[in-house]
Amino acid sequence: MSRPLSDMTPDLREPKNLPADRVYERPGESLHLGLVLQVSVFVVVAAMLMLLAPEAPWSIRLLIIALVMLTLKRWGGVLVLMLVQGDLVLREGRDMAILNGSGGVLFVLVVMAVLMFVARQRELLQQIARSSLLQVVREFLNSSEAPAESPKEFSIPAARIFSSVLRGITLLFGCVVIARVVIGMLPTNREVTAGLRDFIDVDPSLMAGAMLIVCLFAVWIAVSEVSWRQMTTAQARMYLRSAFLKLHYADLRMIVRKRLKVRQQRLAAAKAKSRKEGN
Amino acid sequence: MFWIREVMGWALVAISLIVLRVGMNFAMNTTEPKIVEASVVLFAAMGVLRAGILLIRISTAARICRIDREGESKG
Repeated sequence: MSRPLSDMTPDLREPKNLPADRVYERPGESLHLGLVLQVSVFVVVAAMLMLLAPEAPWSIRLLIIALVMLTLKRWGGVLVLMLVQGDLVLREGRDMAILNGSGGVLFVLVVMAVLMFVARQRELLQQIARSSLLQVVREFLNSSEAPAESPKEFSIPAARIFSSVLRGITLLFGCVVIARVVIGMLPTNREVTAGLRDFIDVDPSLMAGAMLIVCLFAVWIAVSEVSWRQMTTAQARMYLRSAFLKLHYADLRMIVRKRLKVRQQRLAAAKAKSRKEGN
Repeated sequence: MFWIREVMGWALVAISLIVLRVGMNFAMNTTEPKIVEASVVLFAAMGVLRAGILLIRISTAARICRIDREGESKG
């Protein structure tokens, strides 16, 4: 006998006495831990970025650091990775002495650890960043004075934390060792690069690759536009409405997307809760 | 009227492909490669390409809707 539909779909209704903002509230203990983690990540990222671009003036370096901090919760480690790559490209052949030997390995380890942490703790960073700085500090002070409301909910076994940390460290060291082995196998001297450039000069057919890519783009656009013309009237109307909304009512679109996102989060949380209750 | 937009869209696409080719030439110059300049030019080319494709698609969708409406009014 199949279950009724009301049993299978999770109940999304909120109790009337519960305000909507309460969904995002976290108890003091979790916020405390999150704040400590966030501050430590920010300090490490700032220290790491200070090592980059040593020739740049302090004002530009501080500006870059502020930019990275502001985008950390939304973009994660993407900007950090891009800055490190850019710094490596600009340093090539000039200031690489700092990154050779054990100092270089340590730098790579720190960069990888920061990126790993930011990638794994995106949710926590976003939740902490939602509240204002004053609110976070107030919660931090309150949590140190008063005991947390529900300590059982966030008590994680020490063995689980230890195994998670051990797994992360093993993964980190494994990645660095493999990267070192691969870099050791690849030819990195400048003669190879110069030889490759000479080869391209001798054989001009390789230069035709640029033309080939442009032709590929042209054919791809032509084919996609021809297939675009096969759409039905309903599809055309929907596309026009969508484009009109996107161009003229960006604020309305943003509100609708935000609401959809919140609804999806609530649905996922309710599903997880019902699954847990079912088990 | 929608034909003008479509022609303008195709013209923008053609311009973007030319700019793309110029950017590729910057990057593939073996004697003096200009990677940063090439990335700026390629970024601009992608912007022009998006604008052109948007114009083409909007004009196509508008013409389909118009044909349908004219058919309904005649029927």
